[in-house]
Amino acid sequence: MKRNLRFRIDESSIGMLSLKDLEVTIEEVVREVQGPTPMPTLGTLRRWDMILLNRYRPFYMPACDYCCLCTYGKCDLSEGKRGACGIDIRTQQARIVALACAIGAATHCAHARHLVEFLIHKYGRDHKLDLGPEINIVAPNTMLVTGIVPKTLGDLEKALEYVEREITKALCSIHTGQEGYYLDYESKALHIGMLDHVAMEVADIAQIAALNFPKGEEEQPFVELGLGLIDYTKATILCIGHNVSDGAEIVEYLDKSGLKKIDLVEIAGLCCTAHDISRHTHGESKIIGPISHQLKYIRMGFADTIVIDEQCINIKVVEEARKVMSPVIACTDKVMHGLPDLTDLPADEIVKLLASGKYPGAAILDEEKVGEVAVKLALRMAVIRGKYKKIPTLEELKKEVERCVRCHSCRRNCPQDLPISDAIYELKKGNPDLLRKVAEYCLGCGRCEDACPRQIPIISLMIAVLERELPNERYRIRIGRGPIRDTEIRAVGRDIVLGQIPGVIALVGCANWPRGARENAIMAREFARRGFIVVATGCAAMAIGMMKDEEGRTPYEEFGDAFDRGCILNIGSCVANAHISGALIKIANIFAGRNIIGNYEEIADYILNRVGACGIAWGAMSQKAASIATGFNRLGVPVIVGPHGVKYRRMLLGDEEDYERWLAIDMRTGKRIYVGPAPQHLIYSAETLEECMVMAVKLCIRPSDTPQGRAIKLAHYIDLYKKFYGKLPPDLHLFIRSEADIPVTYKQEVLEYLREVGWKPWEYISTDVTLVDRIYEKYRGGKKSTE
Amino acid sequence: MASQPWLYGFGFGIRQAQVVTPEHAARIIAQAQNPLMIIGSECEIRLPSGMRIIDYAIEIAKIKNIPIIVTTGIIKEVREVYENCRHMFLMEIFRKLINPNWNLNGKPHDLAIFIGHIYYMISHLLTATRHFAKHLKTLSLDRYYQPNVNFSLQNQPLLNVYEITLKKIVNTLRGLVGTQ
Repeated sequence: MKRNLRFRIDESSIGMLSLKDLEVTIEEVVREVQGPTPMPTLGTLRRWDMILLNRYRPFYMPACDYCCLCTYGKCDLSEGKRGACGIDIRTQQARIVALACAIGAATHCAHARHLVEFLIHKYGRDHKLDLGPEINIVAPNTMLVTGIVPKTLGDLEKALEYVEREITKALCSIHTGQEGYYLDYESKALHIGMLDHVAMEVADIAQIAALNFPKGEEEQPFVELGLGLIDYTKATILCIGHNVSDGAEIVEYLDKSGLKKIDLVEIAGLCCTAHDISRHTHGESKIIGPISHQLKYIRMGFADTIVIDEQCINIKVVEEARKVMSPVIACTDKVMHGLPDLTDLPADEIVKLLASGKYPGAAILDEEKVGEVAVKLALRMAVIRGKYKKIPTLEELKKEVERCVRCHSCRRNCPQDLPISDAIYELKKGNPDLLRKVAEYCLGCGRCEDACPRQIPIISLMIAVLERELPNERYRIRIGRGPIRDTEIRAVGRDIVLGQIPGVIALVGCANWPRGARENAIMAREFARRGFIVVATGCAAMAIGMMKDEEGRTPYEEFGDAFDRGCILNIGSCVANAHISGALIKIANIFAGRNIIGNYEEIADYILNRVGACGIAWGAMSQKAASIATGFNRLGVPVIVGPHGVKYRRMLLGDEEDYERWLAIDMRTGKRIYVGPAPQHLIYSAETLEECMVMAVKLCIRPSDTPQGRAIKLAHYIDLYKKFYGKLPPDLHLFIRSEADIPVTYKQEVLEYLREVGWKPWEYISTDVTLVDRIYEKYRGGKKSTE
Repeated sequence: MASQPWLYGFGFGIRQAQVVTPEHAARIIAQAQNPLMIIGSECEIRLPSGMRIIDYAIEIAKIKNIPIIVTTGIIKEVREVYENCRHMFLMEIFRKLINPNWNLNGKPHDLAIFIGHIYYMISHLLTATRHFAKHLKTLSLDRYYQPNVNFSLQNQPLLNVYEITLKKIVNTLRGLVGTQ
């Protein structure tokens, strides 16, 4: 691989020689050897997994006593009983975790496969993966896991073939009568999570390179965000899902047909496809919001055509769209929603058929045709369906409210347990305030309506009570900037490893937030103000943008978007999560000079012990979120999920009081030494926002922290803990190795506390440790061996 | 409805909690050798009299000097009125609860009392104690029927009914402990 040194001389003279506008690039070809585990199979990294699982033991919350996956059952696994196949309750939980991860990784992998094939078809197999002059390590996850250094779109297929093979094998292990030990299923889940990061990376670097997305540059333009993005004057195409191929074709058709200049058509996106269309258009499209806005926006009737691609699409989309006469175009064979396949008809004929209302929509499995049909259909429908473009009013829905008998069915079906019945009852009495509050926390799933025996349109009522506020629901978010540049890593890698930047906080994941979207923004602001680097993707990235400060600025307007202290970066869609893991891998390579090709165990060990980073998936809902988080876990990155996260039924928790679990090998002496519970957990569910913030700060503590770095991290930990809980953290002494670790601002108070708990300075402190014997052997004596 | 999981879909298993009356709940607490109480993030809900769930929880704990673990910032206030309390995060509490050797006061706990919790979160967490903490009995004093404990109050969606229940528990327990 190459490392570049560039310099430029505007004007200079040396003796007789005068130079003007000279730019010199020196390419240093660094030969990186293939590491020990390229393309690991299910068992290759099992040893590393067991090291992790010995420290972070699975904590199971069996969401069901039964196994019902084969016809032997249902088998009751409670009270120590085993299933007909011999499985026990722990192994069954681990099996379901592995299954969830397999579904998630397969989803990203199929997404990546579709994109790569589409882009190869359009731009050719040899299209270069050029991410700009400041990114030489284009595919850190792919290099780390597969050993492949991809240069072209065609090269990505080889990585995908590997991921597909491994997912199939992992899925096969879930069949009845296969794997039989819970920790082996956990190892498989970790393996699948790792594969997911390769799949996501393939998808995102393919679209960045081929569709002209931003390549990690700072100061990305802003794009509008929010339910209030309503324009009565334009034909609106609403794209829902994650796969940008069809959105990109719509944009291309608008360009080619000259309609873009006339500005009659608006493209708005929901969920991650919104991020990616805005990355493609560099801010010329709009983002309606996260998945939780889906039913609400459809019902508001502003979409003249709805294009669904894949993932996170409400299954009722066709039914809901039909109510407001919005035709639906399904674009992939994975998601056809019972619609007729009209791919073979000419575009104009499809438009005519759909505009006539003969079908509620159509499957069109040809991206180019989707582009043409979506635009023409939206223009046609905008004329026909004007009366549907309106926010329902309370006056219109008054009779509906009268039918409520306060039976609580709505509340008992609400995933959030929101007091919907009380709110409707209050509304019946003329007070809409409680329903407004409920609407703020509502996930927009619509289960309440389905459960209502009186068929009260509760979601419509929530829209109606916000009728006046909705037009003001407009925010600004930076478009997703994509990967972290190598130059940025070079600038901050040292400070992250030594702890002087207190950590990298990744706010990621879906919209199953316990108390509304705002908490994401609150956390992003708090961490950025404290000097953390905040990176965000997906629905969480949108949520951060959905809160303004006193001056009317969203966090994206308040903070910069460099990968640096105190910044908030929108990285992009779900698949852009791979750039977060990629950045951590690049720290090991660029800052520490560790080879990343096929060298997973060493890099994961490096990250676990040295790179202070923590993911927060506050609204994690999907199987994709499970596999993304599990992939981070295998790489040594802790993740916090919100209270709904317990439904994933397994956490990986450390026991801070178990001395043996926190031993590591000192790289200087080879002795096993105590390093403290850092990081304390691998995946953890927090009950409240406050707990999440305190825990995230704590989970950024690493054995590699210098005294100054540790003091910085502890200052944040103490500060937040005291602010929320009034005292010093009860486990503080476990993180103080010597008095030099004590933050100056709390010195006296902490010293007093340490005396009370009988703390003594550690006999031996090392910031250079590993959990893997092989890695100590490799670097024994501080010198790299010839391995 | 009285003894169905409050949220649909939250019936997890074969064995579900026994529904108890307020008086029965008080007897269970009175008879426990070394109970502890875990108070969650919904404990600040105000009841019709103006008292909050946390206020009743503290009253119950005081009668028998039950150690309290509070999971949220309300601990700052609890410390002012009841010494036998500490703060701990809910996930960490459950990790400790499934360990039969863990306790707060040198003796094994035989009863964990839960009050003031997010229904969907505590329901899932309680499946861990149900399966993996055979050494421990669990009692829910929350407003809604909780299937994954050993003993639970019935569903009481109306706050005034729930407050009467809490008052009955306090009064009955006071009588029972006074006579012990």
